[in-house]
Order: sequence, then C-alpha cells, then structure tokens
Amino acid sequence: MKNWKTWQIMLFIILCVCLNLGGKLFAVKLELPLWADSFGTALCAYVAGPVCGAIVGLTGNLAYSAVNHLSAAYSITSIALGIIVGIARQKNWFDRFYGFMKAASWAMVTALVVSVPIDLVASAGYTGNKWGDGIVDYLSDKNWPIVLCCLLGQLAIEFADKVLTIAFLYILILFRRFQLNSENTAKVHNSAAALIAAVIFLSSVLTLLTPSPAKAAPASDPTDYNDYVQTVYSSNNGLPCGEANDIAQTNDGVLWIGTYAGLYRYNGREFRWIDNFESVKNVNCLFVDEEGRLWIGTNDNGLSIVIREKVVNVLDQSEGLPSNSVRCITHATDGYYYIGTTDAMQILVMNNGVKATNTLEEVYYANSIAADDEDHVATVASDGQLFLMKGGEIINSLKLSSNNETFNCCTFSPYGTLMVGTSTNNIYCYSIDDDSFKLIDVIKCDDVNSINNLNYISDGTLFISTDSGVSYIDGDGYHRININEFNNSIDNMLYDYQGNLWFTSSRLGLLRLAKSPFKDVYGSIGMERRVVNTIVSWQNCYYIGTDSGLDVVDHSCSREIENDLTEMLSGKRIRCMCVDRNDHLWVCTYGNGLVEFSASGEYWTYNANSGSFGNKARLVTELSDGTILAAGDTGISFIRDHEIQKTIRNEDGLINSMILTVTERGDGSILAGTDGDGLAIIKDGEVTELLTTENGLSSNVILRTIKDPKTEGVFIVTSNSLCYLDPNGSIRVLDKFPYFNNYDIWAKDEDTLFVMSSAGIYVVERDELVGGSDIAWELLDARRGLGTSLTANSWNYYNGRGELFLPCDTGVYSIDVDKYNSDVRSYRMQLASVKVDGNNMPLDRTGGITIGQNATRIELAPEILNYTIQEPTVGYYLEGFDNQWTIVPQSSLNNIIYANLPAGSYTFHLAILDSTGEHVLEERKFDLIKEGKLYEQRGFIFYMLLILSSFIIWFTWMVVQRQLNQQQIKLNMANETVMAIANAVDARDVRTHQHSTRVAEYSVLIAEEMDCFSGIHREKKLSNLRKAAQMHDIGKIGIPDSVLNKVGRLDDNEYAIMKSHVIRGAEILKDFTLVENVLDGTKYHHERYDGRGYPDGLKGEEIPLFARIIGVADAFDAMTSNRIYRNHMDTDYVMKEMERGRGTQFDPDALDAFLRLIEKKIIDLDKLYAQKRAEIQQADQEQQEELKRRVEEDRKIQEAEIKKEDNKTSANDEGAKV
Amino acid sequence: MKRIYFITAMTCMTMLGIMFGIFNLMNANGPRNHLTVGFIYDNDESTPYTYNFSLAKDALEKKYGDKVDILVCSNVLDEEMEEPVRELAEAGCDIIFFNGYSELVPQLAQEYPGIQFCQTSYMDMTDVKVPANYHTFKGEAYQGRYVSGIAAGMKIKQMISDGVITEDQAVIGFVAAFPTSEVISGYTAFILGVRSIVPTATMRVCYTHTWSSYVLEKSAAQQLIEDGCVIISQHTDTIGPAIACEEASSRGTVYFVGYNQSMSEVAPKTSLITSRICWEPYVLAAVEAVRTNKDIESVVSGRIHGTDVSAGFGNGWVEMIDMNQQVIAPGTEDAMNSAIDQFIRGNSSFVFRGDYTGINPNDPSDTINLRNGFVENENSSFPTFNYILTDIITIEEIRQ
Repeated sequence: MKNWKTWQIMLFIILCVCLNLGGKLFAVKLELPLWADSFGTALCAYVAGPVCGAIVGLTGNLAYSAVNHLSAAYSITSIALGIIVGIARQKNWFDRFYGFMKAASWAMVTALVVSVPIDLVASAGYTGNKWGDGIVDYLSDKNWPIVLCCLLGQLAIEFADKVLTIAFLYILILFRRFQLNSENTAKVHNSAAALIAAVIFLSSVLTLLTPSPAKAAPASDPTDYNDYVQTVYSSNNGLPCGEANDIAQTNDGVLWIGTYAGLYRYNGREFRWIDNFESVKNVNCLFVDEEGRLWIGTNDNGLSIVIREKVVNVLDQSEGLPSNSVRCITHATDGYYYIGTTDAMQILVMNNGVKATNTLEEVYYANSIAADDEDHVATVASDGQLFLMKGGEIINSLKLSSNNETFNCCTFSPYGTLMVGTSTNNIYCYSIDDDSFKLIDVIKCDDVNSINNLNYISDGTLFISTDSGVSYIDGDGYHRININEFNNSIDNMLYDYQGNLWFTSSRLGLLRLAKSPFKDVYGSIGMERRVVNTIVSWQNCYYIGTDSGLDVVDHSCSREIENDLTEMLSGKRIRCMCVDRNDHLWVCTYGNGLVEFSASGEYWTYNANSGSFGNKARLVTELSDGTILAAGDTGISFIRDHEIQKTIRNEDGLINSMILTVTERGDGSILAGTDGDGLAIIKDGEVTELLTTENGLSSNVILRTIKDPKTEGVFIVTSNSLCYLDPNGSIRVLDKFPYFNNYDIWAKDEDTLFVMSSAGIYVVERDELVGGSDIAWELLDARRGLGTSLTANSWNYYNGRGELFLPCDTGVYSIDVDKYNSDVRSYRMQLASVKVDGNNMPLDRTGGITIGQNATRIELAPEILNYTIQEPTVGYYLEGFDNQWTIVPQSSLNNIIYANLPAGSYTFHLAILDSTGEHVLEERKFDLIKEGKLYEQRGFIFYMLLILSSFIIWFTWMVVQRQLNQQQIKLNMANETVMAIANAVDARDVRTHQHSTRVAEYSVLIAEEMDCFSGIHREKKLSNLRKAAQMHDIGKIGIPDSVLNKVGRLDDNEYAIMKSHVIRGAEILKDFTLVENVLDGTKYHHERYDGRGYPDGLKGEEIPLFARIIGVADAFDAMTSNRIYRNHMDTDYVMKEMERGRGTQFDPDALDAFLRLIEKKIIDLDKLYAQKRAEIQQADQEQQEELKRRVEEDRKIQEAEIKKEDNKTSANDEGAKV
Repeated sequence: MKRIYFITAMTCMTMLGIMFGIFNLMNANGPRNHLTVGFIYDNDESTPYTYNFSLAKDALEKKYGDKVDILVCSNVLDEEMEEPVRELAEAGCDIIFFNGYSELVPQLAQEYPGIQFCQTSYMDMTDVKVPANYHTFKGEAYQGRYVSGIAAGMKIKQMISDGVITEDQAVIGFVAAFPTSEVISGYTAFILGVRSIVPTATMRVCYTHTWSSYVLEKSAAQQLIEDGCVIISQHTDTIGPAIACEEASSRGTVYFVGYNQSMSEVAPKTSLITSRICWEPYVLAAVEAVRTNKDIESVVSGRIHGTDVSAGFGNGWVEMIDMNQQVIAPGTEDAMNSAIDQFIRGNSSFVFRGDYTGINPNDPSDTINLRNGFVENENSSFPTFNYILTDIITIEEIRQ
C-alpha cells in the first residue's frame, strides 16, 4: 500500500466505509441475524493495517449514529475488529485456517466484552437485533439472569457476524493467493483446497443467515300455521323483561328484540342483553335496511344505526330529530329514510353520515310505516290519519270518517296494494294511482280486534297481528291461528331466515311459531285436554278414547264432533278401541267391560256378566279369522258373532291374567304379554308356553309385542328394555337401544322403527336395532315439537296417509312420519365472542382471530343461529391443534377452551354434520393466529439450533486446528532440519552441489509417474519420499574428507569406507522419527534390484520402494550432474546406461517411470545440461578447473566401475547359462 | 506510513461528514412519524363493496398503528363530494382514498397539491390529463371473475356427469347492476371461465339498474333460478342473490359465486367461492410512498400508466377466498391454480379469446372479434371490454 497513490488510498478507504454502511443498511432492512457492518473495516485493516482499520470502523459507526445514537457506543467493537485484523495480518495468521479462526474468535470475544455492558445499560439487556432479542426473551422467560441472557443473545449475533466478516476477508485473501501462486502446483493445490473449504464454510454460514421466515321448500299445499309449534319467551324462560316491542333480524341471522328494558340479542339459545350500546337503553322499534344496517328507534335516546354489531351513527333531538322517541322507521326506494317519532316525521338521507333533510310536521306520532317499490311511503299517525309520502314530502292523506274505527297500521302488498288495518278488524285495500288512494277492497278479519300490524312474508301470505291474536290470509283465504294464551297486544312480527314466525307482544313477550312434524290436534281445535289412551278411525272421524270419555274429531282434525257415543261414554275410562271388518267399533272401558258399536247405533256389551274376562277391559283386537280377542285384568276372551267363545283365565294356565298386550303370529299362535309373568304363548285357546326372564327376557312385565316387519320375529317391549324374539324362538335383549322406559314400537316400514317412550319417540333403523351393534338414533321430543308426553300403555293409530296419531297426556298429537326430519334451509354459524384469558377480544372483521403471544387461555363461543325445533349435529375442530372433529348435538355446544396453544396459525372449523356425524353439510372457517414471540417460531428455533451447533463445531474445529497447527510447526522444524542436513552433506562435496535436492525432485517425479502412492496418504508419502531422498546421502557426513573428496580412484579400502555411508546414514537417522521410512532411502539406495547391491544385498521387492526410487534418481543425477560438457552422444550414453540397468541395478517399474519422464521431457536432459553449464560458467576460473578435473576423475572412476560391474554381470549370466 | 494514516483519517472524516449528512437528510425526508389518512366511501361497511374496501383501512391500522390517524366519511354521494373532501383536507389528511367515483375529485385535487387523492377508477384514463396528485387504481377484477368461472364450470361439469343436469342446462345467471364496461367485462370473463370447462355453458344476465337493492337483486336471482340457471353470480351490492340461492337450494340444485365478500355466512349450502379485489396492496403502498416522500407510482407495483395503476393475481390485487370445500367439485383447486399461475406469469391474453363476436350495447355497429383476442386492462385500470357476446349471453330485464 505504501506504493499506492493518494487517490488510490482515498478510493480504497471510501470503498471500505461504504462497504460497512451498505452492509449495515442491508442487514437492518432484511432483519438479518447479524450486523454486517465490518466488512470494510476488516478489509481495510488487512490491507492498510490496524490503525486504518480502526479509523474506518469508527467512521462507519459514527456515521450510522445519525440513525441510531447507540451506534456510536458500539464503535469500540469496530475499532477492536480493525486492530485485531491488522495485527493478525502482521503476524501472518491468515496464512493458516487456524489463524482465520483465531482472528474471528478474538473479534467475537472483543465484541461481546464491549456490547454486553452497553446492552445492559442502554437497552435493558436487549441486543438491538430481533434474533438476539429472541434469545434474550426466551431465556429471561425461563428466569435466567439477565446478564447471561444478554450475553448469549449477543453471542448468537456476534458469532455469526464476526465469523462471516473474517471469513469474507479470508476468502478474499485466499483468492488473491490463488492468483499469485497459480504457477506453483503444490501451493495451488493447498490454496485451492483452502479456498473451496472457505467457500463451503461461508456458504454454510450464509445458509444459517437465511432464516426461515419467523413466521325449506314451500309446500305446494298451503301451510297451516296452526300446526306450528308455539313457544312463548317471557320472563320465565329467557326474556327477562317479559315484554317485547319489536323484533328484527340482521343479515348474519341474529335476532334483535327491542323492549322497554333495552335491546336483546337472541341466537336461538340465549337472550343477551346488549348493554354496550350507549345510545340504546330502551327500544320502541327496529328496522333492518336492505344493506343490513340495524336501525334502532329508542324511546328517549333517538335513533341509533348499527353495522356489524357496532353503533355507527346516533341521531337525536340535538341533531335535528323532532323527538327522541322513535316509533317507526322505513327506507324508501328513492333512498330516503322515514323516521316516525312521537312528534313529527323526519326524513333522513345517507350522505357523509346520516343527514336530516325534511321534517313533516303534519305526520304527528306515526305508529306504522311501510314503503313500496315505487318510492311511496305510507304511514299511519296516532290520530288514525293515513299519509302517503314520496320524495320526502306528503303527497296525500286519508282518514276514516267513522268515529268508531280509525286506521291503525299499514303495509304494501307485493303487488303494490296499500293494506291498512283498523282499530276494529278491517283491512282497507287501496291501490295507489297517480299518488291518490283508490279503495279496492275491505277485508273483514273475524275473531280479532284492533289490527296492530300487517306483514307479508315471502310467499305472499299476509299476517295480521292484533290485540286479540293472530290470523293470516293466504291463497285459501282467511285463517285464524290459535295461539292460545298469547293473545294480547301483538304488535309486530318477523319471518326469520329459517321460516319461523315471531310475534311480539308488549305485554306477553315473544312468541315463536316453528314448523314441526308434530301437530297438536287438541290444541289446534281448542279442545279440552285429556289423557288419551287410544285412537281409531271410524265413520270418517277419529275416535279418541280418553281417561274420561270418548272424543271425536273430523278427519281434517279441524272440528270436534259430539254424538251419541261421546255422550254414552262420557266420563268412562277408555283403554283401547278397534274397528273390525264389519265396521263395528269395539271399545274397552275400564269398569264397564267391552262394548261393540255398529255404525247404525246398535251396541253389545261384554263383561263379567256375559262371561268374559271381566269389566276392566284393557285391549281389543281382531284376529285374522275375524275373531275378536279382548283382554283385561283377569284374562283373555275370544268373541265371535257377539258370543264369547272362550275365556282364558288365571286357572287356565295364565299365572298372571293381567294382559297388557297381544299379538297374533303367522302360525296363528297368540303372544300375550302379562303384567309380571312374562309372555304367554297361546295356541288353539290354550296356553302352551310361558316365556320369562329365564328364557332371556329382560323383565317379566311385557308392555307390548310388535311383529318384526321383516321377519317372523317379534319385538318385545318390557318394562325395562327392548327384547327380540327371534323366529327360531330365542330371546335376546336389544341392549344397544339407548333408553329403557319404552312403551311401544311402530314400524314405519321394513327399515324404520318408531319407538315410543317416556322421553319421546326414538327413530331407529330396524337392521341396526336387531343387529345388536351400536345404533344411530334420532329423538323426536319436546325440542322437535312434541309438546307433551306420550301415554303409557296406549294405542296409537296410523291413518295410512303419512299421519301417525299419538295418544298423549294432553290430547292427541299427530306426526308426519315422512317429514319428521323436516328440511331446514341452512344454519348460519358464527363466533359470537372470543375470550382471551377471560377478557373479550374484538374479532377481526373478516372473522380472523389474532391472539397475543402471552395468551394462555382462549375461549371460543361458537353460535349456530338456529331458531327451528331441529337440533342439528354440530362439529368443530381446530386445524393445526385438534386431530379430529368434536361432534355434539347443538344443545351441547358450549364454549370451547384451548389452553396453552403453541404459537402458530390455525383454522377453527365449525360445521353442521348429518345425523350420523360423518358428513359435513355446512362449514365455516375462522383463521386463528396465535402470535408467538420470535423464539416460539419454528424458523427461529431451527436457526438457533444451527447457530448453536455451528458454535460447537467452530470451537471444536478450532481446538483441532490448534493442535494441527502445533504439528505443522514441528513438521516445519523437521523439514528445515532435513534441509539443513541435506545442505550440509551437499556442501561437503563440491561435485555434488544440490545433488540431494535434485535426487529428491527426481524421486518425487518418478513416484508420481509410477502412481505408486494413492489414497489420502499420497501427498504425505510423496512428502516423506522427498525428505528421505534429501537425506539419502546423510551418511557421507561420516566419510572422511580424504575419501569423500579424494581426487583419483578410490582404493578398495577407501571404496569400502565410501560404501559405508549408507550404514552410517542409517545409524544417524535411526532416532529420526519425524519422517516415516526415511531410513529406507538412506540405507538401501545402493541396493541393486538383482541383489548385488549393498549394504544388505536385498533383491527385487525386498528393497524398500523408497530406496528403489531413490536408487534410480541417485544414479541418474550422478551420471548427469557432472557431464556438463557432453554432447548428445553423452546423453545417449547416459540413457543407454540407465536402460541397461533395468531389472539389474534398477527396479523396472521405477526405471520405466523414469524413462517416461525423460520421454515426456518432464526431466529434460538438455535443460539440465544447460543449467549445469551456466552454473559452471558462473563459477570462477579456479573452481572451474578444479571442478573439471574432479568431474573428469569421477567419470573415469564411474566408467571403470560400470565396466567392472558389467564384466561381473556377463560372467554371472554366462555362469547361469552353464 | 504516516502518509497513509493521514490520508485515511482525512478521507474518513470527509466520509463521516457526508454520510452523517445523508443519514440526517434521509431521516428528515424519510419515514414520517405521523400521517393522516382519509377514506371517503360511497356507501358504508354494510355493503360488500365498501366492506371489502375497508379491509384495506384495517390493514393500514394494523401496519402503522398509532402512526396514522384514519378519518372516514361514509355514504358520500358522488355529487356531494366537495364537503367531505374539504373536511378531510382541513383535518390535515396527507392522502385521501375514494372507493367511489366523482368528477369533483380531480378538480379538488388541484386545489390541494400537498394531498394525494387516490380514487378507484371508473373510466378509461388513457389520454386523460389529471393533476400530479390525483391517482386512479383498481384490481384487475376480470382475472378473479375468470377463475371463479372455472370453479363454477367445474361444478357444472360435476352436475352434468352426475346426471343432475344436461349439457344444455348449463346456464349461468348473473345479477348485474348496470351495463357498464366494468360489469360487462366481469361477467364476460366469468362465462368465459365457465366455458373453459363446460364449452356448452351459456349465461343470462339480469340488470337491476341499481348498485344496491336487496329486493331487486333477490328478485332478479329468483327469476334467473326459475329460468333454469344453475349457478348465480352478481355484480351488485347486497346479499339478495345469495339468499335467493340458499332459499332455492331445497327445491333444486343451484349454487352461488360471490364477488368481493364471502357469502358463506348467509349461503353456507350454496356458496361456492368468491373472488375479491384486494385494495390493501395499493392503499398500503400509497401510504408508504407518502410516508417516505416518494411518488406513489414509484412504490406501488402493477401496470402503471401515469398515475393510473392496476394489477391482478401477480401483485396480490385479486384473490380467491372462502372456497366451500363441502360443495366445490373435485379438482377445482388445481384447475383454478393453473389459470392463476398463468396470470401470475403475466399471461392474461387467453381470457378474452375464442370463437366469439362481441357487440357494443351502446353502438351495435361496434363489434369485436375475439378470435384475435382482447387484452383487458392493457392501458387502463378501468375495464374497457364493453361488448356483449350475444351468442352465449342473453340479457333480460326483471319481470315485474
């Protein structure tokens, strides 16, 4: 850098500062788990030294302090990093990987020492990096000391940051070296390997630094609303105030009930008082406009507008409303809203809020209001005047002339006719032509008084709410609904989204009429309620036997009939009836025996006096042969042609003669169920067998026997369960049936059975019941419209047209057996509230729930906005947490609590399932996000595990590297020692200048060409070979100068001394352990392949490989090093000599490798000679002469020796031949 | 060495001065700590359209919290725009969003050059000169319509294969507000999406001539159902058509495809899927631009023509929501995703293409041959496809 020009230095410094700041901004922008603000510092420190590095580091931090003041404090870290890198450079740490690790570790430790105190003082222990802070949060939540939390949080960041920063620098250094050393193969290998290692390391660290992101069908027949199940909600069942002024339904399906006590929200399950609408304390009227806004007219707080259960507008007297008491609201198709108050009529328009536009003083105290599709609005004021308005103005008005009758309410028909109800019972129908009233009809409503509300539902039926009940007009005309006691001050009505009817009474509360498969016959006719025991159809009427006489109703169940029979049987308890094939009616009375009536009025009585079982007749039936079988408390009688054929009594084999049921089987046998002694089988008038608990019955009290619709089997209803008499005669208990107190079974068809019980009617599949496995059932009870209890030991009646008549405690209910599971359009579902740790939290408007990271308990309140009498099966599950649906009947759907939910994203599923609970019919989903602290997120944990493992690897690696480094130092010492020794040897013999080094080079080249070393130890073995070769002549140290440097031929003694250098060398190196196999080269390099070498005369492969290779190299160098003035002839001679030694003096493989090297000109003889020549020319004259002389001398000696050897060889060869 | 130290120190001091200055300047001009954002709605959040738009306001609140004050004017009539705009301007709004359209807005924008006026587009802005602080934007709704058409098509295909309907009975009903290019483009993309699955499908369109009328929309839908339509969709504001479908579901098979707001709440049995324009990306980007003193169009991503911006699935301006897993036909998701992928890749020319001829309802002599294709929103954020494909689309009025 000293040679750099000033501008170059400046540019470099600017680059470094920009690198620091750029990295910092990048890391901040991407919220990386590192600072990335020291790359420039490290680079500068390496290039320009510690001082410059420190200055650049300081500059970056100070500049960024404009954004974050704390940055200045952390500048000490940057300064330290600059100094460390600068020093590391000076100490050549970066020459080794360990040095890089050492520098990074020091930088890390320094940063920790500086940053942790600053964090603790300035940032409450937080690091300023969200990843580091995540660790601080995690550990502090586990109550670790803050100092430790801070230290570890900071360490995670500093580790990644400093390692990456120094690695960035190290890679640059390696890259630079790679360029510089590209000529040096060995170094290239090393540098490239290190570079690759560093790149792999850096990329793996970079991978760490890329954290995962923390992250109903309208019936064709007219509907009879008298069939609807009526439920009154008042102070005793949910509506605390006991009165209701108005009712409305918003688009979400929620019902809103306005009362003087405030506003109630009803979801089908619970009336919730809305106390959080400040402006709504009491409610006169409600209105939901087309867009779904709920308009609330209060009694003394004006008008409030609610959107999605939030008050968005309040308008009262202070803002232009004529009165704070609002009586009625509507919206005209031209956009105007008409607000009737106890004072004038106010016209409003939606324009940047709700704006008052006009006040109609003439319309004083409007009670009823309605709008048509052509911008008209009609209203009736309290004085009975009818106003027609349009465009916010009155266009016409009308008042009845009679003093006894005034207009009370109004509505528009779907065809635009204005219907006006009066204070009596008339509805005046006006057509609006040219903005004027034209009376087209007056409808008189019978049996009602003072029409308060007229309301068309979607199918065009007009409902009339009055002070004395409700009636309606449909295509079939005018009908009165018998709403029993709910018959006072009915002011408003609503047709909800499921088709239920709601009526409000300011005195009685709220009435719901819900579609039901059941029909209350007594209720709809208004008959006196009695306990019914039996029903039959006779003479086009239903004859109903009760505890206190006979009731008769017509087949349409709309009229009660009184006749001679009703009069005759009045007050008598009738237990059972049947109609025989002669159309005679048989009536069992309890006290008067059995009576038979003909249609013409004749009758016959069968009792104890006439020879029957007695006066307490319990049942009567007609057998297949026309015989009438009757039974009672004291036996069974068979009657034919008005004669008692036979009576079976106690003494005839019936242990207990109180017969509760009889069934005729296909084989003519009769099963008679007794009250305590099991089931008697009667054949040919004789009791042949008694089946009791010993035969498998669950009880000996047999309430009913019913033939299996599919087989000859018989269902037996006992006093405690259901049993089944198989066709083969065996009896088993159907113990999977869910209920025990059962009365009767009615087979709808071969597949479906209705089991009557004290709990209601269980609908079950015949096969499932008989099969004995778990059964699915549906209970038709009070919730489904059966508003009473079935009578025990009673006899139902099926009319063959889909209606089953059920004797009940309060009369007769009929059920539509085909539509008992009546279709409901849909169920709206929502989450009413979400409570987090006991506190209500607002729901995201899209239905999403976001829960804070500290929440431990989440309570979801799912709502099924169901107002029908159906009870759907509801399922819910939290996807991401629950493994399966939780399925419950709607009545059991309570708040759902999740505790200690892990952070993450979930979906809450709320669904309506089919009755089996297997198929989802409707579903709503709500996203639920539990926010997590950073450390709760999977990505964070993954990242931190990576950092932790990297940290461990780093320090383990560092320890290993430290040891390797020590070894390397030793090895270097060894190398240096070897080199020193080799040089010492070479220095003793002027003829062998650098001989050892050359032999070493040749040896390595030969070994590489031979490819004799492979695997991971190749490099090491080559290195050892090089060293061994360098020291192969070390023994010459012990050869006296007089021999070693003797001019002239050596005598035998001297030659022996000379030869001893191999043994001497071996002795010298015997304790030298730094290099493996070093001894092999020294001791055996003069062994010959044919075994004629020395010192041990080893042969072939016995000679260590090192020695065989060195032998070739040594001989070649010996021949070439001194032949400086030879020509090509000499080259040929040397090569010839070398080749001659193949298999004799030299290992053929080693020699072949050597020859290939010559051939490839890797060892270039010409070059060698040229080099040698140049060396000699450089030497001074005297030395040259000496050298020449010695060289010549040596040549002669060698030639002589070679000749001598040759002679020996040829002699041996000849000998061998001989 | 001293020379190097000296140069380094001097350079660093200079750099420090410059950088400190830049950072301070950036801080001064950069993220503003507080903004006031105005919203003017043509309706209020009771309507699906405004509700959907207001979700962008929610996103803004969530992102910036106390850093933004949000002022909302609801139910603002087009012709009454001036008063609320002035109110919001005087209240210190830095940027005002309009989900309706009024000619008054660009005029008022000129008076308040310091305030950015961002209005959902309602006309082709090509060659229209507007003030620099007046911006128009809209999601490329036809993309969502086309994809929801695929979902509807898959359902119809299932109904045909199940023998519920025949191919000839593959009729779509569409309750439309007005015959504007925006509405026409939407329902045309919808039927073309359906026909990409069921080539025999046709459509009946019933105009209500009002954006918001529960009664009219429900009647229109009921009429279409009575006329044999098996899928109903809408480009109007109320839940009327969805309710009509739900009520009709017990009498036959009819499904509903929503727009802008999930209808599964009110039509859980019949609602198939909904496509919505996501206003969030634009609103958030525009506010961020104002916060950081940048041009809105330099921050927002999409097709930018001056100050008019549009984008589709690719930029998150359109999305499919509330897929009803209980009702959709198998394979619907894959079929939809393949189209969405194409939109994301920038290919949208396949939508308005095919063996069709379109006639401009306002000018019968103006026709278009879709064999050559038509690229919607190519030069304008406001849809410009204003042709009725009379071969497959029948227009009808509500029967009184």
